[in-house]
Amino acid sequence: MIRLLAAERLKMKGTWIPILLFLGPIGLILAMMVDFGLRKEYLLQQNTDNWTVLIGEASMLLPLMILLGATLLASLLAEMEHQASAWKHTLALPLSRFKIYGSKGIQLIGLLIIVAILLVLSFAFLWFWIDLGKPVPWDQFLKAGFYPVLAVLPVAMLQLWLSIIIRNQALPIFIGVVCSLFGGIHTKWLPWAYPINAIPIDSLEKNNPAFWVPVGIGLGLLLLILGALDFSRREVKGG
Amino acid sequence: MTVFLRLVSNEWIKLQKWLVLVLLVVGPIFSVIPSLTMDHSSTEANQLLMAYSTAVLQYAWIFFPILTGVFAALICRYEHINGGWKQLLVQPVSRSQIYLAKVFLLLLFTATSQIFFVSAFLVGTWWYGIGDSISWEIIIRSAISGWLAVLPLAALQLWISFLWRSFGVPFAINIALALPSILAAQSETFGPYYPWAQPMLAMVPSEGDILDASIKVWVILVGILIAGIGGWLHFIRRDMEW
Repeated sequence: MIRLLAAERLKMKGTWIPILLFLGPIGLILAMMVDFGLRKEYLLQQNTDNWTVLIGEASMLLPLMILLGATLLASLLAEMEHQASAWKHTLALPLSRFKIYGSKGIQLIGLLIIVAILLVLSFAFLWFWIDLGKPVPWDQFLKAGFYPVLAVLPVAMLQLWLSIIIRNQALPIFIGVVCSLFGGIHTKWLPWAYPINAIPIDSLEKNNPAFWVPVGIGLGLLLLILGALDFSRREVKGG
Repeated sequence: MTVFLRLVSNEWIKLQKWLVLVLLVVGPIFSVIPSLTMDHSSTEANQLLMAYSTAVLQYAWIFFPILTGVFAALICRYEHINGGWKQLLVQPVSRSQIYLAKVFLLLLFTATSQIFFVSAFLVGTWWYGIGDSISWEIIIRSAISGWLAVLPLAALQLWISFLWRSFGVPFAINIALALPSILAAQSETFGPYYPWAQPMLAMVPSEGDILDASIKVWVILVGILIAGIGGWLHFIRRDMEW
């Protein structure tokens, strides 16, 4: 299994995946720098502490960014196999299909955790750049980086399954985009609402990280296992 | 002309038509429903106009620019997966005509999307029975402006779709650049020059002419010229080694 993961890492070399990992956090930093650069006074005069202001502004962009990022990462991971007819070679290895699918899933989780770490660093950078004063809420940076990313796991695993069983990546990506844009609007129970539910601030009603982060992790792992079971029985057309 | 029509029908045959239809139907419905079910009664303004503005925001911020990219990619997909560029380009027709046939389809699909969006909104207002009336002129003007404003982006996406075999990479670029458009649109100096913000700015309902003050006609024209001519030159000159 570990060698399988190492092989997966090799395959990622020279792809766009590493660049994509940085794109989201950098986008967040730039957006917040512009936002606070233009109207810092106005934002900070609100009746809350500085951290609530920062995470409140970030939460307009962050959930959507994480959802779309998970969709794209899942698709890029699957596309490596769809192109170059790599499925044939991968599946010819003396390994169970369950493990092969599992290694894709673990890899996706790993990539998302890297995103979470980059987000933590982004929040820290923003805190000092905007000069929001002391004490520095390091524990909040950690929560704000990791909670929404952990809550996106169900969507990520769903997208991984879709991207692997459908060859034409237009379809899974499009489903991901439409669901990310519209899936979380009306109800908090659908997985596309979990990232916003898990953002650690009080001013958003209906959000409660202590509940939604475990739900996200649990459902994500369940979907990974279900996807792997489905994949083990499926005919994959090499092409 | 007949050659051109044959080329267009040739492109049409290669398309996954069911997929195009699904894409065209889904977005407008999803962007219209939340805007109409939302409670706008707290405002003094015309409720239907408020609902329309919300729907425009839902539809034109990310969905419409990305849909344009999906169409561009689908139009080039057949050639990319089946090594079809070689087959296509050995035909006794000029590459420019092939390029034009693909452009024509992209124009057709983006225009159809606008028609579907407006229709979905009108059907929705009737279904939910929203009282206020709204002038047809405003909505039609908004839809046409939005279509014109997406054209630079459409030409750019077609260019990118020729370049990359991968489906994910053009999408990643497209989505990453579409997300900040909500911020770009807030800035009067920067917004009109940002291709991903142009459709949204152009579609916000207003009283002026098509493509009025919020977005500049010459910016759109220059955008179309740069991306269109660039994509065209690249397409006719490139060695097709795919």
